[in-house]
Amino acid sequence: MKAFNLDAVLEEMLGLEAEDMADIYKSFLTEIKDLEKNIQEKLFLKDWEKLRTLLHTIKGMSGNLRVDRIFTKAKLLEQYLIRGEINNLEEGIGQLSLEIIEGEKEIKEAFALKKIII
Amino acid sequence: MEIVIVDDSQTNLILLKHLVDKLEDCQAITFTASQEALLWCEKSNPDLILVDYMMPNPDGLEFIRRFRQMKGKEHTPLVMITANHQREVRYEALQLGANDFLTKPIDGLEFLVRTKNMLALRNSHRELAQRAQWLSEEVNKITAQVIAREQELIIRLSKAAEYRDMETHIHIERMSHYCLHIAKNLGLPVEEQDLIFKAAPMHDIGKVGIPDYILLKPDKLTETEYTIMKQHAVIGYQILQDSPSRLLQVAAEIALSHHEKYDGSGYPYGIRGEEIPLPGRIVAVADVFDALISHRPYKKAWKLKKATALIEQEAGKHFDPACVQAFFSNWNNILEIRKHYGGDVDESL
Repeated sequence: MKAFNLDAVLEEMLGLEAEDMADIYKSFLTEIKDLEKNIQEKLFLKDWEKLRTLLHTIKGMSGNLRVDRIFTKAKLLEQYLIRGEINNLEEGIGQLSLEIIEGEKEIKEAFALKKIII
Repeated sequence: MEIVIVDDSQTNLILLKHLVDKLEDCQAITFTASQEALLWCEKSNPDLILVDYMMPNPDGLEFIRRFRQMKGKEHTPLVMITANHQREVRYEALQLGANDFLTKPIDGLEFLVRTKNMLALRNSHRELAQRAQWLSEEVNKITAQVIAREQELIIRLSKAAEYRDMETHIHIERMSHYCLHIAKNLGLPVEEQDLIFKAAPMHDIGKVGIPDYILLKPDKLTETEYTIMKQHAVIGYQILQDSPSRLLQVAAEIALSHHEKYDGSGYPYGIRGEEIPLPGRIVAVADVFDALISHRPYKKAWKLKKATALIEQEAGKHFDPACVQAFFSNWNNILEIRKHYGGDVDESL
């Protein structure tokens, strides 16, 4: 499963051009890295409420931008927190970080194919 | 049109802003902090609100609650952005005043259709409000015309009555201004002052029902004639009663009660004190005063000093003491009225 399909996104975001979407994904990549740092911090502090909010934000952003694997992972981690399955969190957050790295790579490649550097 | 977007994710804001930019004549105003958005909304008049549910304080639900409490924001369309499964959140948002929902992940087509629908709703509300405003202005204009015609009719009716009486139109004008002077000094609301001022000219309208040989008799009336003459109060009331117009209702009250006396010795019913309607008590002072200092075929005009002494002396007997006190307050105004509307009078008090 690919993390990201730019053509599908452009089809669903009626009226938006690839250039418009480039702005949005630039912001996404910056914001998700900040959120990831924050997630590590809240995990260390065991601040589950804040952690849930951060995961919810990542889920929302990645869902809107159809970065599917990040969305799925963030959703799963949010569910762990809701159900109180704290033991699964640390490993899951590690996997989320990997998905973020992979997602960034795929996003940049997809835009590069349209001759847009982000 | 201004569309406010509130979402704590900068990326979501940029995405929604780009979508708003595709709508004709629409401008996005974005906030990552919901509190800041509320402050902005308090001072502005946005056309549509798009608000995320899960945000740091206040969250989307609290945002809606506070937004709907703002004056003039009752009908501003508001769309909440939620996940499809958040049924309980949606119910609560609806109860708080959300108009619609956008489901996450955002779908471009759904976004365009829903926002266009909401903006059409906004336009309809605006048009309705403008129509209501226009209608209200028209009603006010027509009401003003009706009132003006009502007043004109009253003046003409009073003039018709004058032809049958020795009292002049100028007496009626002076007397009405004295009434206004008393009503003002009694501290009555402006609307009541105005009603008394406009209704007072009709106080003797009932004289149209009194036979000429009595009404125009230059000599003293016999007891029987006086009994007939006294009927003008009831006749006036019968002419003016049962009108839906507040002005004619007050005029009827005045016609019936302006010859009642504070101590109960007046006519037609011999009622006393505050049983006598206030407009009637006011007109009693103004009418007697002006009659005293005016020339009549059967009597000379009294000196002002003599007339004011009588009015003072009759406080608590013929007249309501409060009306007498109000009459003598700001005395120069009474002299001004007398001067403006004519009349030979000794102005020394």
